[in-house]
Amino acid sequence: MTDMLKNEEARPDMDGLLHDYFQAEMPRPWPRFQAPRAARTKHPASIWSRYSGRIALAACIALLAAGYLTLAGYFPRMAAPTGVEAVSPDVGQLPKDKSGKVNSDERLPMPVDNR
Amino acid sequence: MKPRPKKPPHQAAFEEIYDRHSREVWALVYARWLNADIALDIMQETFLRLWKQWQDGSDIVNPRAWLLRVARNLAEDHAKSAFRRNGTQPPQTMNGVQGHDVLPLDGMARDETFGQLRKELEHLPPADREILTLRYALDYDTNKIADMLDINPTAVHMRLSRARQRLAERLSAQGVEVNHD
Repeated sequence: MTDMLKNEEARPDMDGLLHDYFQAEMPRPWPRFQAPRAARTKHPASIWSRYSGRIALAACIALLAAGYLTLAGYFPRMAAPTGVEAVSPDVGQLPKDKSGKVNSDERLPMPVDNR
Repeated sequence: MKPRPKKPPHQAAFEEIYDRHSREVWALVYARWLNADIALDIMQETFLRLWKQWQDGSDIVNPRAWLLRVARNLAEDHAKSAFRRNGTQPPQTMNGVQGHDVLPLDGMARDETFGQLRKELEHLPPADREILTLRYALDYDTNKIADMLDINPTAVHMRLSRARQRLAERLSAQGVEVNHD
């Protein structure tokens, strides 16, 4: 009986074991809260810095257009060759009289079947 | 002597909330994961989110409820990300428990017992682990636990007793003899 009692006393009790376990798991020392550093406040950007890229792009396009127009003034545009030689505008047309009417008498007679 | 710069009033109020509830938040997450480091990370993340809410001027009526809810969600999110990392296999946790000035041999024996205890705690329902953590890590009494978890004090008492008995039986089966109650 005494052996049993001694054995019981030697055993850790569940309550104490759980207490020791959870206390050992708790972080020590408990960490203090550190507020994150305030984010740096941004200064309002100037109009130039905000739109500088767009302004530069617009300036480039304007410069290109002005250069093109200036050069176009120095070198006038020539008609591109069509590949067809220029011929008299009367080709294929019936002769006209002085008043500009077509002379129908000059028409070729229709072929007649003489059989 | 140079006087210390005074903290802004909202920071002092925030630190008061931190002192009052950070352990509860830690305990809640610890009960979910049984990992002190994960619990600490999630606890800090939870308070960081509250801080940001404060900075944005959000009006949080019940910071404690807000904190506990966010901590639970973060713990569950961690479960999902852990699942993605580890598949169906849970990450292996070390049996070693952070020591606090214990002699090496005693520490080894204690760590072994604690390792077995942790293994058995993993088999308990999460709700029972929550109660055990609040009881033994924060030294909360039955009424305070019941109040925090919004359950009956009798139910807390019964679940505590049942969890202790189950743990004692399981540890005995592992060769660790402990008295129950």
